[in-house]
Amino acid sequence: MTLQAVLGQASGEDVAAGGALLRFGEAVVRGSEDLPAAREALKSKLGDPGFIEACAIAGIFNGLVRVADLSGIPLDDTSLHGSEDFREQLGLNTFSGAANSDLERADSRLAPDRFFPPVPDETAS
Amino acid sequence: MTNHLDFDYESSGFSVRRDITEAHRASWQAIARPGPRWSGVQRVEIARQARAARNSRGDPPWLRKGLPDTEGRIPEAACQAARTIAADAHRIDRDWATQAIETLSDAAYVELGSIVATVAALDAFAEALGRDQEPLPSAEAGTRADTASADGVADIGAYVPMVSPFSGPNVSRALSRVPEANRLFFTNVGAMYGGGEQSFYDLEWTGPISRPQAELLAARVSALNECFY
Repeated sequence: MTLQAVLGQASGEDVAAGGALLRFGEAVVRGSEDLPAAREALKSKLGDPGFIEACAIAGIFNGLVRVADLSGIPLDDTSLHGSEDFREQLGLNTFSGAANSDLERADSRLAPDRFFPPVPDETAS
Repeated sequence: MTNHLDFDYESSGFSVRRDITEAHRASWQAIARPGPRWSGVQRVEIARQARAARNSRGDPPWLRKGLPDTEGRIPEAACQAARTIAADAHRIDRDWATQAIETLSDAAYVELGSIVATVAALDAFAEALGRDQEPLPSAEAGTRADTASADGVADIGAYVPMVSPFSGPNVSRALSRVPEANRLFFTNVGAMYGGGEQSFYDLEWTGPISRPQAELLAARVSALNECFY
């Protein structure tokens, strides 16, 4: 997964239907006028079952972010250490919720061998 | 009482998995019932304020007009907390949370937050599908004894105490100060995030979208909400 794509800095096309997923996610969050078109574009890429799963992901994460922000839950150690190398690069430490975690304690040497689990190569033909 | 046809996705043309539908119906029924700190009438009012605020999220707070009057059903502090969590959660900081919690109590705040987050999730799902938001449930009358026990929770550096020690996914204890509130929201997580044939804990999903696809979308939604966690 391209981390930059998450922040709108890359296309996301290293993931199948990545561009359509990103467009859809943005339209749902913003409630934008693009949502109907983004919806149809995603359906054409994923089919109806995949589209509904994507709706569920978009829906529940609109709840999860509120849970995290209202509770002020700090990062667990695995996430704290495993994300040290890219949080600053991507500007995530500027988000208000960053203050809830002791970022000074982060040490990428303590990160697990793989922060992200291994995934199949989606770009392979 | 909640109409058994609430969240009738099938009739409106959406083949939503049964476990998702059941989780949504259970959520509406739970919101309508008296909770540990808020009555059923208050819980539905919290949901109403949260929905209205989130529907106005595209406008800055000072331009949001037409937000419903509480008509005295909930305290003003609760109304403002619900609206902020619903529409401006990314602005929440420790000072804001501390003031809200001191005014409402930590248990009442957590119960309120659970309702707001649940409504946000279910409303966003409806919008994503292209379906109207589900009418809010009819509140059940009465109150109940306060059962928001603080057993097993500790200060872990968050705004509210949480279960500690804890071995599950960290975020799944975020509302554990009030177990019932935690269940309200995270029952939906279990159904909507890697539910069905696969579990959230499975690294390789076999459902209609792959794990990388799900995580890309999830991360983008989170980033747009400016959620650090």
